[in-house]
Amino acid sequence: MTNLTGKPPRIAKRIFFCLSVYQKNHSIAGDVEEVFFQIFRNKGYLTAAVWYWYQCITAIVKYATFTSNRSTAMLKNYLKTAFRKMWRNRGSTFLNIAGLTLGLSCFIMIFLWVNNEISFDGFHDNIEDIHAITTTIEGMKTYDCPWALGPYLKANFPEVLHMTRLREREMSVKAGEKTVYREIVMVDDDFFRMFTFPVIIGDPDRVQESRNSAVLTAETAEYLFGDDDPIGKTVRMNNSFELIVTGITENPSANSSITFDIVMPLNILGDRRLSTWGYGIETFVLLDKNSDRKVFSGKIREIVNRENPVPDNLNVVDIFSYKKFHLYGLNEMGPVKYIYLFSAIAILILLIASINFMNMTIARSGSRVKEIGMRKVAGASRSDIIRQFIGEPVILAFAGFGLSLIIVIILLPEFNMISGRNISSSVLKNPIMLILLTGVTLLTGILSGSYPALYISRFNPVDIVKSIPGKGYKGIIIRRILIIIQFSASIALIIAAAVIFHQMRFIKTVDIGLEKDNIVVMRINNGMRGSLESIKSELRGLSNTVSITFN
Amino acid sequence: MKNLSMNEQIYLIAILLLKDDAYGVRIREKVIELTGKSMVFGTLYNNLDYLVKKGLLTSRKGETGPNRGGNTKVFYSLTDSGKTALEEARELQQSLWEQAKPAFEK
Repeated sequence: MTNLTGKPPRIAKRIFFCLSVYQKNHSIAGDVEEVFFQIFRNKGYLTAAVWYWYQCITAIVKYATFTSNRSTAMLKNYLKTAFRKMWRNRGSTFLNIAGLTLGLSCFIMIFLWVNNEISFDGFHDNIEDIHAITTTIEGMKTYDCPWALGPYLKANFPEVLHMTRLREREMSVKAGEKTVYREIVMVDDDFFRMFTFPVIIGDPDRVQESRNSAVLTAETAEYLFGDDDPIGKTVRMNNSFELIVTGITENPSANSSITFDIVMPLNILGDRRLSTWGYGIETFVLLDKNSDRKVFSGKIREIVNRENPVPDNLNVVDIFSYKKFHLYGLNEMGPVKYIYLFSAIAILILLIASINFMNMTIARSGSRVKEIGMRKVAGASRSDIIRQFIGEPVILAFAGFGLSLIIVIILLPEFNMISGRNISSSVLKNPIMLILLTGVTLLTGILSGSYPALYISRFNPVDIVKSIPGKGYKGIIIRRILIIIQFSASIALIIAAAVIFHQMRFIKTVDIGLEKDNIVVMRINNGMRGSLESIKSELRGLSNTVSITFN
Repeated sequence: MKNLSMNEQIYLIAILLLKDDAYGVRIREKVIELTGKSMVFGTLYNNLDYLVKKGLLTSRKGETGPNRGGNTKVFYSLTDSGKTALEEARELQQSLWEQAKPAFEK
């Protein structure tokens, strides 16, 4: 028997083990395993495994129903009364669900946005150690650096593992008959070693080796070359020089600060320009994990002041962690303060939805006091009633959660238009995300149910049956407070929205002293620059043209 | 004492028939053989637990066997009250059919 290779499915086996411990005396695990091997021998592994899982699941169900008969009966009763009440008061149930759905939808939208902002650039493996070099000029921080600084740092400082300078441009790209404008980044050859932009085709260490190599994103390559193999093909840039395709990368993810369609080497600009100590380029360095950043920034300040002295040393060179690149930005221009603001608004909206729910439940509680009286008389404890009345909003909150997921998925494209981001609904499939949102839903439900449950469960059954209105004065005060909070928060948000709306309309409609309509801007590349006059006269010949100017 | 249900009788008879070999796997086989209906282990053990709790069965730990992953077998046998309950059930059923016979033969 020992030469059997099949083993029962591991997870199911574990569950059985737990079950047999729980049920002390039995050998259900052993029994099932024995039969498993019989089936395995006769009908093969798959049948046996399926059978094993089937036994496992039915065992859990059977044990659960057998051991907890009383509590499930009570749960069924709660659910039944909850659904009956909801059905009887369809109108207010609809309002309740609608309120929670609206609140949760807003919350999820804002949550997705915040999550997107926080996770910006997070896909780089070395994000902790990548730094941008900044220069403070007349009190304003910029990413402007001397051209020669980067190579000097790499050559002379052991703590600088990799360095790349970076310049972003838009250029026309021509391959065969196709010409198109694309975003270009010009970089040094450490670019792909520092930043995690996956290279699909080509060796990431060598794609930047030659002076005229180009790395295309998959999307650009497909546009230019279709299904042909792009490696080794030539592309003509700005109609003035040619590059050879050496690699293909994935398209930069939507939450990357550095975006590009084509990566090309910076040294095409010529050694003279690259080795000056004049300003004019962004520089990024990858520092050794154990190096002291303060000491390092002191050292580069010294070098820049020595090589490119400015009167009074007004320019201050420093390093800036790439982790803060998007979120904080230079001179506190990043979206981080909006993140706090919008997070607060999201929570406020959810709170309003909860308070709204509470008020409606309390207002309707009159119709349920008899039920509560009956339950109390029949022996329900106060905690039973509390549990029941917290459970009902939780059910509604989850109904609202389902609906709001649908709403979010439908509205996400519009949301992306407004926010200028590219958030995909597939983030919602992320299990951590789902668990978090489920948690928030549960919390909303519990919060919504908490006060009504405490309020309703306090009624004295004798008072109820004698239909004496309970000592509810305290309740009324709290309800008024809740309503005041709800209305003032809503009004504040409405005013804020109105102000922003008017501001935006002002920006769009105000007369700024020049005519914006009927003006068309055209880009002209270097090749066309020589024949400006003939282009001008050609355009003037068109009947719709009023006037032309060049810049 | 309450009368035994049909289900209880089937289990007790299965265990009685198996004599010294009455552990989970065999009992399930026997019950399936007697009733002709399939059954999962979860149900089996729920019912066995119930019968033990009612005092109709006792269980004892036995040795382990091949392919059991080191788990011991648990053997079941009828207690005295189990045997008398079964005996009573038989008598009740016989007398029932005895009385019902004339009605069927009409």
